[in-house]
Amino acid sequence: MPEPPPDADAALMLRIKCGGGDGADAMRDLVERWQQPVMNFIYRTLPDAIEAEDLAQAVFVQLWKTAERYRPSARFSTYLFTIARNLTLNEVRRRARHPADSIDASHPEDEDHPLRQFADPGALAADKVATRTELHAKVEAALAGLPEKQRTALLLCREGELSYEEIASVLDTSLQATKSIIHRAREVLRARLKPYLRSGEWNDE
Amino acid sequence: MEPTSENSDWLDQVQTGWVSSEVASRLRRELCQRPRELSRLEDELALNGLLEQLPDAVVPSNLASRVLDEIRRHEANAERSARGTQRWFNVTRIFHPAIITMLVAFALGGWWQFRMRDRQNLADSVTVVSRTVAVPGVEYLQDFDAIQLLRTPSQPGDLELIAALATP
Repeated sequence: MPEPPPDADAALMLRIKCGGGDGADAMRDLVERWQQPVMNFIYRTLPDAIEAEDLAQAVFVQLWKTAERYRPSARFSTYLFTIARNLTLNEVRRRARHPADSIDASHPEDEDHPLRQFADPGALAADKVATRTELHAKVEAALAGLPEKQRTALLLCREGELSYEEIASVLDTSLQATKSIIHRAREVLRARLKPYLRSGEWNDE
Repeated sequence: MEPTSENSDWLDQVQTGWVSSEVASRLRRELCQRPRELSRLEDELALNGLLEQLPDAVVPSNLASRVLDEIRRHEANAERSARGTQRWFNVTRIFHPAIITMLVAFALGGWWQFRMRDRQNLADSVTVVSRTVAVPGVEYLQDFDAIQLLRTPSQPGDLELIAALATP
């Protein structure tokens, strides 16, 4: 699918503001365009598949609720990922306040799935062995080990293709601080993933 | 501005992952005489490659439908709430004149009480002042002899008499 012009998302948001059936169609278009980047962003911060789905749904519903406040002066992706980051951080804080949830408890809406599903680099789920490699697991673990701002900045580069200025806006920091954050994050990743960077294969040293 | 090896922008551009293969090749050529920077470029490009290869999270096929369903639920709840408020307003409408009258009566009563209290305070103050200051009656103003006496200065000889009387 060819990439729509940059202001297409702003046009969709304006249609959502107007409401009605046209607003619903515009909302569907926005969700279908951005669901993958938003899911990737949330899942890399909160590696719980069902929670990530619920949170992604909440992000788009929040987008609709706050449509009145949207101004096309900023890129739509900046607005969207600000919402995604805030909701994800709220969930992380909520979990920190209520750590007593049993990790073996069933999800209230789906008894076949545990309440918590964490990506374990050392034990791949059987249905993912064919698609995931140990290298991917190492990269994901390295990403998960970064402080929140560093990981968020890197994910915004990858998923949202945001500029430094836009990332600074989402993180609510200065441009220079954002560059430092990304620089430090990549330094850490290069160090942790050094065995792979040159050889193309994972070699434990 | 195109990233070149002559400016530090090349590192910023590479770190945000916006480097095409053509730009990468050109940077390699330009940095070939600077082994440390070339090595740094290769590390950064390799890291970009690793991050790019990460598999996407699984998106449920019905996410858009779920979002729209949730939005419709919100709208239905908001409409129900608004109808409830309107119904309550319609039912209580017959009491509105009585409620308004009561409010006006309370306001007027409060204002009237304030004025009465204010006047009472003023009257109390005048009473206190009038008791404290012994103002002579009008008849004193008609005793011209007494007034004349007030005007007369005392005689020097009176001082000797006063001194003698004061001595025990």
